[in-house]
Amino acid sequence: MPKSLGLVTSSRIAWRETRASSSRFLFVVLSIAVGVGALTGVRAFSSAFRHELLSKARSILAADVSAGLSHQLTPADEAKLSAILPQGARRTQVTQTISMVSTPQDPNPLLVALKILDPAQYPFYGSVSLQDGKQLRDVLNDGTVVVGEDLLIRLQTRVGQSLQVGSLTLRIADVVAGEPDALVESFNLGPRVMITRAAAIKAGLLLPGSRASERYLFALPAKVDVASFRAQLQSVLPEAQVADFRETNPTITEGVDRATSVLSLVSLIAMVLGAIAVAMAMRAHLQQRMDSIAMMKALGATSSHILRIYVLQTIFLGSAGGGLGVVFGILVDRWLPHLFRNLIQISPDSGVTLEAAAIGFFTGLLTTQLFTLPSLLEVRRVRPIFILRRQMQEENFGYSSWGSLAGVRQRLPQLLAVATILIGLAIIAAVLSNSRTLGVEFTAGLVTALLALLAAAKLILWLLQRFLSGTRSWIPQWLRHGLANLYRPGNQTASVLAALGVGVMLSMTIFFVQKTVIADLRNTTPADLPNAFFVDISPSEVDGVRTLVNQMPGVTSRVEMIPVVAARFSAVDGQTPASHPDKGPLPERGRTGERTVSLSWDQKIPAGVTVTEGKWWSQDEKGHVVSVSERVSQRFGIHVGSMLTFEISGKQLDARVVSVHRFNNLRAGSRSEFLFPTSALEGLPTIWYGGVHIQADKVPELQRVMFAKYPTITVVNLADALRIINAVVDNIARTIEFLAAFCIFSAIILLASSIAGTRFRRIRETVVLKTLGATRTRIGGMLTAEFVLLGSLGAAVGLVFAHLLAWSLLHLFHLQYQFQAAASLVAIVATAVLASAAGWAACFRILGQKPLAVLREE
Amino acid sequence: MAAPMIDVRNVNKTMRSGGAPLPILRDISFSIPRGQFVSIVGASGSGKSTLLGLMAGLDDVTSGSIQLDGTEITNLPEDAMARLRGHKIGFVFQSYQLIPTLTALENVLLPIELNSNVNGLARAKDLLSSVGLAERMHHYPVQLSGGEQQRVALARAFVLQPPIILSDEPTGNLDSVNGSHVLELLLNLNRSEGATLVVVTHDPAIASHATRHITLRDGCLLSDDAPAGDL
Repeated sequence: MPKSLGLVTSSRIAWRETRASSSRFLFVVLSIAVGVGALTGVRAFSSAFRHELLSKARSILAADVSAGLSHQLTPADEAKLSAILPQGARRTQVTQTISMVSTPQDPNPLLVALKILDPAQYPFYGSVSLQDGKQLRDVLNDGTVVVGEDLLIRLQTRVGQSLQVGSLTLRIADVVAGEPDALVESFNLGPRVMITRAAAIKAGLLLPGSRASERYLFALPAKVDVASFRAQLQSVLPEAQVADFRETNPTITEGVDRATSVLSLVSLIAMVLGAIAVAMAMRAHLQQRMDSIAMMKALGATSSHILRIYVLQTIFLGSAGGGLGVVFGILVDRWLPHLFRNLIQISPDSGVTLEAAAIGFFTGLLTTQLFTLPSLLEVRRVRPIFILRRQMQEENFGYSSWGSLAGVRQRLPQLLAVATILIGLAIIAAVLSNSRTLGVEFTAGLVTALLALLAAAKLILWLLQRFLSGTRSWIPQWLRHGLANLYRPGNQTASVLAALGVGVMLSMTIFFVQKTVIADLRNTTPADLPNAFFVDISPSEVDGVRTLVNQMPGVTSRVEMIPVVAARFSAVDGQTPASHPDKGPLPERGRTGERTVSLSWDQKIPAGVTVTEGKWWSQDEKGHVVSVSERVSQRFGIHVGSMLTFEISGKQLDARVVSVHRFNNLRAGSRSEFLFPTSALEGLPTIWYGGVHIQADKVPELQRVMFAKYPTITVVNLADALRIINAVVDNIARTIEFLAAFCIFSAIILLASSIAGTRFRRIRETVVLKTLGATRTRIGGMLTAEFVLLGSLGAAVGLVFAHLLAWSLLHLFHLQYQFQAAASLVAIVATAVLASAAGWAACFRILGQKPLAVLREE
Repeated sequence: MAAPMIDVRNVNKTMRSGGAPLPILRDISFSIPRGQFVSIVGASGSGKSTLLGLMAGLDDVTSGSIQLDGTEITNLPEDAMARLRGHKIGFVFQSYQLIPTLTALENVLLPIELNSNVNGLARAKDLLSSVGLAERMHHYPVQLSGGEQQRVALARAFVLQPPIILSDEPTGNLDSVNGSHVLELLLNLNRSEGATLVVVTHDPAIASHATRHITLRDGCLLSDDAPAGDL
């Protein structure tokens, strides 16, 4: 043996050994490949998923950032804006105002909501749906308008006819079926009319002093940080109401955040499961190579010579697994959108980037090296005498016991290797999740769980031993032998149980959490949310509208109504209310100034409203009381106990704040900033707003019927906008379910690998049993009993911790944990079945093997 | 004349090595009567262990026939062969082949549990005591020396009182002191149990105790000093 074993020689030995054991290493490579495939696929998926979701969120704002003003920008404002606008950013202006329009056939004018825009720019995200499917920029020009369906109904006109707008006559080019940013705008006071800026100016609609609200929309290049641009914009336009796409709809924002957390966790889990399987398989492999290692040492090789060979071998395996894993990841990323076309609407062009592939590959390689370290270090303990006394050394490398100082010192390299694994894992987790905290917490949690699982596994095995010793006479021999195999010394069952438990624990945690998260998402955006709204209902029309709408075909929810009283908000605790724009989210768009507000009433908490501070009022409350929204409380510094003063139709109303509430702004019946008891606002001038859920294709009919009976009530169609939110919720749900299934697949590979790792011990035992007269049926019964109990116990141990983890994660998400008995039972049965299948897949050839062939190798 | 306990007729065994056939045994024929002590000797690679394995039904012959106690085993199904082994043959291996996860007592009990419904605890303990391991019966193989492990293997081989004991280099892994002790036990047990004993060995001490010596060379039967009536 040369003094230094060269890299070429080491590589040659490593490669030949790997090739000679290629069937044994199949599980190792597959384990790495599944982990890397999950990681690569998840990152590509996650990136495309987040991009898709966020582009949907962007379409709701029609931009990345918007600034709302009640006036046009001054030249000074323009200069400041130009200074902060990043290179490559786009900007457009949308003006909303009211105007009167009429047709040649009907000279009676109609009040409409005019939207003045540049069709070549607007919208930056999403699109305006037109009835004949064309693009807005192709139909809207300086000589045309596009209008809402309700305008055609009210004016009894049609596409192609003329419409008088201001001093201009324009042709109606198409019908607006949906606007992407409908949700962020206030309810329109009349039917929609879209017109170009040039046409609006020519029509005399945009004169100095005209009453109009301006929205400046910005689309930013990908590398620009939205939050910092928003902050700059707010500073140069302090009077503007600035919003970015992330807050357009909190449901989507929260959904994306939760989904991203879950997706990151899944990729980490899949990676760890793969790494554990690699570690166990490599340990079993090295145990098989003990005689070769002893022989090389007998010939003069040092431990570092030997280590070099096996480190190279793990590099070969890690590279093979990593490469295969990247292919898996690409296939997953390419295939899945086609397979689940109707379920996951993510663009198939997303692709696995070089960066994602490289991260997946090197993560697989690194984790392989890390997790095989402890086994590789045991090579140092192999002594050449082992080739003459194999059975004596198989179980003991001459270690002193753990309790002695010598034992700890001897195991120091292994302990350092374990510490290295943990640090490496924490770093990888932190990089993958972009969060140092999550990385550390994940690793700490995993280690704690592993130790707890090991302890639980040992306890269960001890209990099993006690149980079996008392049942010697009445349990069949084959069953007793199979069960007893679990606690035989040296069988490493505790480690296998812990590994199985990890797989079940992590997979079922994901399952329990996603079930609850999805249920909560669906609860927040139930399918029966109102998608058609009624504006300007007088008190005498409320009952009639309810009756009429309830009789309409396609109505699938009850009509929600909210009364609104206009008031001036004049004081907080005797002081003029000072707006604090930096104290949280801005109020809804459409509020025309800080001091004109809408009051509403209800005796009980409306649906969609949650009290977050204080308590809802009781029947015997003294004096006037009010509940304010979170947004208002943050904006004006109001808290429980504050005294608010309003002026309504010349009268003053003082009310004490008893609670702060949060509302779902998708529900008509709950969009109230100020909520009073019914008695406080009785007799005051009131206008009602309503909402109902109706099948999207029935909305035009609803508009016609409503106009015929109640021509002063405007019907606003939001069906399309809400369809976006429902589609997003569905996307989140399907993706999480798919990735959880991927994680479970990783656990199956881990299980098969851990059982395959004990294959050679089983072959030897089977041969001896056959020699002693055991039939294949009896041996089969022993093996099946062992595998079924292994799977069942592993699942049971893992499930205990899965429930604990799910409880704590859901607590973190402020969601309610519920024990899922049926799913738990299915998990136990499924794991037992899978353990048997995996065990038999690894062992089935044993039964047919001729004993002499094995004995000859001894 | 009583039927032979072991009857080997024109047995050939060929294996495939890298595609080319490799003859291990060529046209071996002999009979062993009940109660005889036979040693099979020969140089390494002469096919001794393979012959013993074929006689135990641990592998299939390429051609020829083998009968054990009147039963033709050459085409016997695997499970039937296992049952036959359990009742008819006790095997002692060179490398002990104890199940490492069973104690000494459990290893000796195993044949009883596999092949019988009787409570063999007393028999197992007696056997372990007779081989000097009364104090070690609850130890695992890893806690026993080589000689002690082989004594456990002996006790296991005799526990069901099989009519045939096959042994492959029983003292091959032992020092001379332990080897003598194991040999003595083997002979004593055989005398008291009355089995037909076939031992593959390099050890002249063992061979000298045998009443018959079969010598193999390069897979062929070189010599057989059986009494004339046995051939």
